[in-house]
Amino acid sequence: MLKLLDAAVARGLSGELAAVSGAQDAIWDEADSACAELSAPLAVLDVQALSTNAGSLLRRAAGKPIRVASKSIRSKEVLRAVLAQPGFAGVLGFTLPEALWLAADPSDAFTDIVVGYPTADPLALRALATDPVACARVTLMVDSSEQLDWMAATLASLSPASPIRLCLDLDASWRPTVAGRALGHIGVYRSPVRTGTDAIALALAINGYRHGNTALFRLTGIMAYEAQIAGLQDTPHSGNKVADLAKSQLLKQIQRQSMAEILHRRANVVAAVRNVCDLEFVNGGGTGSLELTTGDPSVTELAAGSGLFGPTLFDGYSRFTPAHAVGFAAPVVRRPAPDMVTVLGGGWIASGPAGNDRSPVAVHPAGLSLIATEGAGEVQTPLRGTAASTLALGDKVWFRHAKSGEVCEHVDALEILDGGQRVGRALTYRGEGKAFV
Amino acid sequence: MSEWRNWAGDQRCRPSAVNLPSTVGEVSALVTAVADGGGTIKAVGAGHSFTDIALTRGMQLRLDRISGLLTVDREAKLVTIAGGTRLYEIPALLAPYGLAMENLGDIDHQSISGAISTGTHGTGLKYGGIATQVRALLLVTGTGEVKRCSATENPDLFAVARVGLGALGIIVEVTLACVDAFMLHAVEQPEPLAAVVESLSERNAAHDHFEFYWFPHTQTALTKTNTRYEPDGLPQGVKALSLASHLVDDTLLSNTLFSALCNFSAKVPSLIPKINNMAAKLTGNREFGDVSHKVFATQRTVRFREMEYALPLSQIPTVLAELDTMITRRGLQISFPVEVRSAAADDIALSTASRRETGYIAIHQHVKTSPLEYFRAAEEIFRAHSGRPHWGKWHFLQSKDFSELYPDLEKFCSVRDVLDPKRVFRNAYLDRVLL
Repeated sequence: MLKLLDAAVARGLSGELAAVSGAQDAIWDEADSACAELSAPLAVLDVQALSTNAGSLLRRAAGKPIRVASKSIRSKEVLRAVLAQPGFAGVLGFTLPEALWLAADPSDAFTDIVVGYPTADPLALRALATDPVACARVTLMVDSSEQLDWMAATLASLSPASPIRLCLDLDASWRPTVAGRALGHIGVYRSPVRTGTDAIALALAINGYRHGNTALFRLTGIMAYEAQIAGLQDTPHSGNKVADLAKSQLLKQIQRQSMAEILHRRANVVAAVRNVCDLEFVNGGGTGSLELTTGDPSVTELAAGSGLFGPTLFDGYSRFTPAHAVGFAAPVVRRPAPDMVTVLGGGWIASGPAGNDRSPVAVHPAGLSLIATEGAGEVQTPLRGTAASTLALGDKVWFRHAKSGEVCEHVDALEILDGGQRVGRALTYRGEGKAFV
Repeated sequence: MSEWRNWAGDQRCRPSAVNLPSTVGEVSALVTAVADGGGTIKAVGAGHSFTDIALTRGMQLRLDRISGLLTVDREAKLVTIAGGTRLYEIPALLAPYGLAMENLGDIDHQSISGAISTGTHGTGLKYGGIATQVRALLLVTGTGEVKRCSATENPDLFAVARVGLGALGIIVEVTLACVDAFMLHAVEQPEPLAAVVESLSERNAAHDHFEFYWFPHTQTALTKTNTRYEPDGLPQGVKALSLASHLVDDTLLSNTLFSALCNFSAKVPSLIPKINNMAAKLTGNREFGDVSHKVFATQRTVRFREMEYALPLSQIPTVLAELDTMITRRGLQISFPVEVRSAAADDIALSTASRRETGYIAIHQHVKTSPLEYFRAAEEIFRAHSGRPHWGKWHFLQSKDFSELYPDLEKFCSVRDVLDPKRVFRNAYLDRVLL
């Protein structure tokens, strides 16, 4: 798999994406033939599309290293292959048990894992603290002294192998004000740390925790994820063109202003924290904002993950169009009406605010859509459309999922496709018996 | 010859020769030989100056072998130390006699002669810079003559030579007025900047050694308050740093949780000790005590460049506010704190605290970041408030600027004409700052 990725990354780097986009729908035909022998449900990963996406991310990152968000991948083998590409470095993990599992991987491919979310798992924390290898490889996210106190109390009875590496999460949401009055909170609710004063207080607090004569914690980095830019489509496609156009204009305006605000604030907070400690890294951005965030001189590395798989959520971005690298197939099991078929499963819904944009989209054969009153179901999904008549029981209907990571929670492995051929399979976390959230 | 660098690594020179004399006689002979040959000579200590004050293309003298304790007068608390002795070596030399230096800066790597020649200082309004502790000097002048000066012996020379910039002679011996060994109780905590600035004069008056760091891009100050105690006289429960309790988190001080706890404890008094204990842990004031030199000195591992100006003490709040505005307006990203200290007025001609009670503001920039815009803009502010630059730290001033700042500059230069008629101690720095 590694080699396959190598060969095609250059294509993405050189920006030959348009050519790929045009031919994208052909891959489902190819996937269907390649997987003819296999029972569905199953999921595929097209390695050429993955490579194109990897190259595209690197080109947009414009030289800053990309930390790979493992929640969007959830397959060790795919993570390994991506990390082997120059330009990708480090993992942005999602739980401490996951990080411990990756850090202990015998391949030694995962030596730098920042757990992107705070931890409140006492067993995992103690396991981390007593394992010198994990201590060197894993960095935990913090944003409050409440978390520090909890960690210190949890570790009170043992002496850590080395200081626990910490990363400070800076709130990157936008709170516009008019004449000093706040208009609202645009972005996500993550960290309470917003200003240099907040960050300094926390950094000093981190420095102050000790276990005997040695420091208990070490602040090694800052992360500021601009969800309102990286994770929000700026060209929505609801079907109402006028509303979409208006919304798009507004969103683009908001994102421009929010980006200007976070550029300024992040630089100031980073400078403030560098007053009290040396930082190894400052992480910013996400798949949706690489080309904007890379321009911030205070940011030393970027984060991205979902852009590798190219789910439907990215169809509404103006700044880039990823190739469709992952899809899944569900078998036809019923025909409730002549113009309808029902497939087994299909309800591989993405998390987030419940809405149509979180549902999978049937892409092959063309001309099938979900039923508004049922949507994508837990064990069966009815589909309506002219293509229904062309399908026999046992045929596969191909879907694209809405958001990157969760698709892997439904299958043991991703079937690897290369140029229309099935060349192997990559186990998912689930396939290795791991469920982390 | 091999290249010599200062501590920050940004000032470099190639001396034509390097010598490590072991005796005053050797120093005298070398200076005489250089003077006769029309060359230049410069003694260097630890290279802790940020300016080019120690650079030379002529002969470089390293005084490392002219080091150690020469005489002690326990009764008068006077000690004489060889000029090349490093500050960090002195406590161990004085300890057997129960003596200590009265006040120190936070860096202890400089040689004693380098520290006094550039006006190195600590903090505390009751105390002057290190040069004010000097009672006598032994100099090798520019003609190779060995000359002693004190308040009674060559007083005109003594008045200028304690902060002598290396222009008057090579300091081979220093007699220091010491004090009985003492302990320091240190309290460090972050506090809101505005409150610290507002109470600055009260704190300076109330405490032996007060200083604070203001972190640009925040309204937070890290205050450091050191109080002097007799040996074994530290307040109950104050321990050395190795056992220090948790540091600092003032977020909870102003936090509703903390005030809620206080309200709660008012109703259930029996819980007060437990809650106070917890609050102290949460708010994490770092507090420790130790012998004085261990508390004064701190480790500096990150290499930076520094500018420091001495200002009339009353100007400090205004200058800090102007610095803050300047940083914001220019969009500078400053990753080192601004350090604020103080010192008593003294009577040394070129001391930055000469004849005025002084507040010091030091600004820093990482050695890999160009300091020019920040330092120049800050210097404009300092200058507007009659600031005097530290002789060993970045500044962009020239001799005409100094003659306005130091009424005795002319006197200094006339002493120099006598002591170093051939200018064997000259270098580019002295050419720039002296008349």
